[in-house]
Amino acid sequence: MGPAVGGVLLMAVVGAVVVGPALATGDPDAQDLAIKLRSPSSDHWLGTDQYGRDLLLRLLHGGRLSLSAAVVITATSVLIGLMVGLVATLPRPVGPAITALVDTLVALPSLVMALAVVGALGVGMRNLVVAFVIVGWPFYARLIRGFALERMNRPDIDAGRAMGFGRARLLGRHVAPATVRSVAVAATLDLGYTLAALAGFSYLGLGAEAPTAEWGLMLRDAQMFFTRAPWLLLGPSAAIALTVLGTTMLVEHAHGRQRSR
Amino acid sequence: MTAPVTAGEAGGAPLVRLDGLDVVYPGRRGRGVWALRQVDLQIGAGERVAVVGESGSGKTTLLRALLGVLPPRARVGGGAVLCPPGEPGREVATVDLVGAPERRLRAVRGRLVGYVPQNPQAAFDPLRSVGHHLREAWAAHGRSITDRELAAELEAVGIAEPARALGQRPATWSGGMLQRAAIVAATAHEPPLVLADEPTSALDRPLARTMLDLLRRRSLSLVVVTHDLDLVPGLVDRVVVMYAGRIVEDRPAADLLRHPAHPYTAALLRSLPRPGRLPDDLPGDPPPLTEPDEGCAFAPRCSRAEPGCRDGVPVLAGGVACLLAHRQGADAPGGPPDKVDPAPEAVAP
Repeated sequence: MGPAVGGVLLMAVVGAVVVGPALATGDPDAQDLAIKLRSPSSDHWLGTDQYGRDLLLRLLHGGRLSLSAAVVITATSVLIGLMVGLVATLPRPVGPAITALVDTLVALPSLVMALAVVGALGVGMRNLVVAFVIVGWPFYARLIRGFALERMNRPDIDAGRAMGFGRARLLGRHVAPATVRSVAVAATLDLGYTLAALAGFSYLGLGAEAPTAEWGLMLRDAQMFFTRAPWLLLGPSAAIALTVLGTTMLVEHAHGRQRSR
Repeated sequence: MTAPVTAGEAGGAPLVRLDGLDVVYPGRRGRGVWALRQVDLQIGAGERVAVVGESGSGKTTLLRALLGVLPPRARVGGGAVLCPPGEPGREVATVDLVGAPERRLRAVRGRLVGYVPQNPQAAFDPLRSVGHHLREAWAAHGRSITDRELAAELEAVGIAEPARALGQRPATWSGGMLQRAAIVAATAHEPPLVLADEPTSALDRPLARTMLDLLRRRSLSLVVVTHDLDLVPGLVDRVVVMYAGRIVEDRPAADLLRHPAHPYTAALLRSLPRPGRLPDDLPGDPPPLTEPDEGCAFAPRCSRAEPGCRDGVPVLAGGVACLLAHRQGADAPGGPPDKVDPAPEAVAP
């Protein structure tokens, strides 16, 4: 398989978001109504919005929020899922009880559940992150339980048991690291999906609140001026699309490498 | 269950004793799989035993029982007791291998009973170095080993440049090297009993021989499961033949190989490839293990079976569980139970 185009894409987006705000100095929230809704120019590469704010600056700063929220959600979900998933491999009664609970949670529609949690906690980016973690971890718990059970029956774990090690140590030292590797692929794919879903929630007014720069919120603003200033849509939609495409292609590449091994 | 035994008194007592051991793996609709049925086996200190039989005959379950790692869902009847040797006059506790708490069994595994796995390539954690795996063998019972000592251990089993090799991942080692390392790990605490589950099935013949010699050198008592009866001479003192979860023959290796008493053992020997003769197939399949056995389990495949063979399960007497062999043994008092000629007969073209 050729070079990891997905990885390059993802690196480009992450690099721009991490380094960009340091290079393109300025306040993303600074308003200048004299230059509102300007089309892209050498002064404002992506143009300006209805308050005269520089769109490139808002895109770079907004990306920090969107990407870091997606990373925090995915990492926390994997971490909780790992702990619960490993405990769920224990024999009766603990393991099966936890498995039944996890299966029940997985069966609930996640977006509807996230909506309900946001409804209960209140609107805001922090609450949105909490809601996504609450609906996200059971998926990983089930995935990890499956990987761990398969792994526990492998000869290297048998060899560890024959040496005199107990279940806890074998789970922690040998099963967990191998499981995390297997889950990394699913988590990468999920990262892109989470980013898009977060933008969707912000777009609906359930996530970040004005005047915060955030990709979903920028799309919401852009929609109102779509006919007069279509370039408003360009930045955030391209950023979201490229990130999701990057994660998907990266996973595809990793999958291909695994298969060819 | 642990009962104190004084080592001095226990002189000559078996190291391991299985008494009427039954192991049933529960199945669907109450139909369990009988992996072991009424297994009686004693292994003395310093004794080397080979366990042979077809796939599904219970060999691996027998090893699992000896290592105290039967799955928790298995239903177990009878007993399996380990009487580890101690300093003369000092009390040592016997261990119930099938009923003791997990904590007690963990102290046995690796320290009193070593285990050499079947497929060395799969038995090492692929994410960690071989050195890490070996150091864990010592760490499992609170001991540590320096890199220099570990390198010396590996050198002793014939691994070149051990110091460099220790940092490598198992994927870069050959099967033979890994099996040597696995033997080092299994004997790290010089356990009185070493179990090996088909340790040579992944190796070619000359290497298999080397590996078994190494295993023999590094162990006191040895139980080795094998498919390959040709590797048995010179390796073990005794051969235990298993069929459908029961021990059908348990006799000194030399006698058994020359004069197999059980028709199944004879059939196994005839199925070995020999120059100038095609190996004989053993027609038929082993019986289903889901039902209680009535009569000799081998009778449906036995060319010498009589109607009486299906009436009762033959017990292990004189080292063989076969009504015909018992009858012939009674006819010839003092003599070997039976002589089934396993000699290679020239039927080749």
